[in-house]
Amino acid sequence: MPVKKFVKSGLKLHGVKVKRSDVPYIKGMLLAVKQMEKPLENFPDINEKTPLTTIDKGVFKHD
Amino acid sequence: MTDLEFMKASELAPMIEKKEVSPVELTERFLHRIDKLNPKLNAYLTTLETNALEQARSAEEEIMNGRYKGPLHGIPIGIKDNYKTKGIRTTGGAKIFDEYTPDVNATTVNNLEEAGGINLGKLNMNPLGAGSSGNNLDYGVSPNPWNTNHLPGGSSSGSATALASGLAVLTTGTDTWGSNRIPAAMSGVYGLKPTHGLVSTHGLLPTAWSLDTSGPFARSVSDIALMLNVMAGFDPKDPQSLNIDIPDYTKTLNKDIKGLKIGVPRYYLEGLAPDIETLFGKARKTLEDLGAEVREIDIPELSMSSFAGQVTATGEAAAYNYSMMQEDAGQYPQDVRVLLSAGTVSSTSQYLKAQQARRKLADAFQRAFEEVDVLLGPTLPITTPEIAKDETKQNLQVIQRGLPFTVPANLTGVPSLAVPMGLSSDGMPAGMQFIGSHLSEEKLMQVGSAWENTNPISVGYAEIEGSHIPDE
Repeated sequence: MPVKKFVKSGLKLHGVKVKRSDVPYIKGMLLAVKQMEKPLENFPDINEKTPLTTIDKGVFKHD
Repeated sequence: MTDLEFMKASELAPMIEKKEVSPVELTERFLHRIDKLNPKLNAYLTTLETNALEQARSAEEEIMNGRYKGPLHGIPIGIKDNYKTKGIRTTGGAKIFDEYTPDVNATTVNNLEEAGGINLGKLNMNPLGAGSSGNNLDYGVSPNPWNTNHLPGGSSSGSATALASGLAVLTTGTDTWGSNRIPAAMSGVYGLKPTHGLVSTHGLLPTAWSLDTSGPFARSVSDIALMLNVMAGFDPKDPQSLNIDIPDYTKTLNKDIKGLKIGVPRYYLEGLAPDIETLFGKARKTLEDLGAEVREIDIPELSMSSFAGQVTATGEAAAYNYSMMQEDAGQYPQDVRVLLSAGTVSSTSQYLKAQQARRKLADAFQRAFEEVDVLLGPTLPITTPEIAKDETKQNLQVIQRGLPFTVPANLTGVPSLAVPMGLSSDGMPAGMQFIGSHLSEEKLMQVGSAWENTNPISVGYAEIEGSHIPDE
């Protein structure tokens, strides 16, 4: 799906009204994030890593 | 007495203790300067004249009666406007919170006030902390006092502007992806992003929960240490707060750094503007002259930090603002709305991938700190830009350039101290950062003060163009 359409439909799905003048900036950001994601390919073992989580003191009572 | 407005807290404190300087007179001087300069510099969104004078009178009375509380007693401080202040409006730099008046103080505001600090007012910032430029499409930019055509850096723009122009002795900031360190670099002052959990974030308007930190801003490392002594500590109201003993951060000031191992990640040497490259090269040489061992190291995992930082920050910010965006997205300034929109349409799998990258980066940092004592890199790869017409585009550009340099400390929770590195060829400040392992703030104070003693910007703050009071 073209990025512009993805932005519009994605925001609409979330109930957020889209401003036409924002779309080029949002598109630019999403494309930049895709570029930023590329270096992850150099770390094929990344899926063996548990996502960073924290032990929240509010729920962890036995420390 | 001259230039009291540009003195450090560590210099003023003994004068206040000895009753040579009156907190009331000091506060009046700052309020006078704010009155004269703030219309141009827009550092304060709210000035607290009545409140500040009341606090100053109270401090003076206590001191006169022999109840001196310590080095922050009677010191005028500016508070970033995303710290909640009881009975005082707290906008987060955004008009959507223009009339928001909290009924509690942020824990750190309480800490600073209990230590005797005088709250001068609430400081400008990128709205909701969502930016690095210092632009504010709602309340206007707080321009850089070194040259008012230039950006101050953000998001803690007013915190840096106020210090560089003598509108506060100390200020507070918050740092989610560089918001303390970027304005410190662009405005020639010192800013600390502390270890995650060392300083309470209770009572901050959140930007991104897992990255947000609250930290001190000052015109010297010694003042950063004094503030951290008061701001750090366990807070049961903050589930991320660390329950640890807090050392005296002033103890390591002015200790030499002979034999200290400093690692420069090669990743931080890529894509530097020529002036930054030159200044950073000189800084490395100076640190070697001070006896440190400076060597380049590889941390390839740093290449994942922009992705992890961008996705985590915009995703969490979008979650916090979700219902308000649904209600009326038009109430947000455009640059913030764009960031929140990008976070809204990002996927959950991207967010979790970012958290996997964070763990890998944290592991890589841990390995690096087995080899070296601290890491060093420029705070930004670019020189301080002029304010552009398209502020939305500029904010997004500064974020993207700054992110690879500043967000790794937020992603991994380690501390980073931003210090001035020198002046670029256009006379604007540039900065660099010392990054330490978790809870290594004492070491950062040591290396930071050793660096400060080399007088990196070699210009007094009172000589800055924007710090002059206009003719009566």
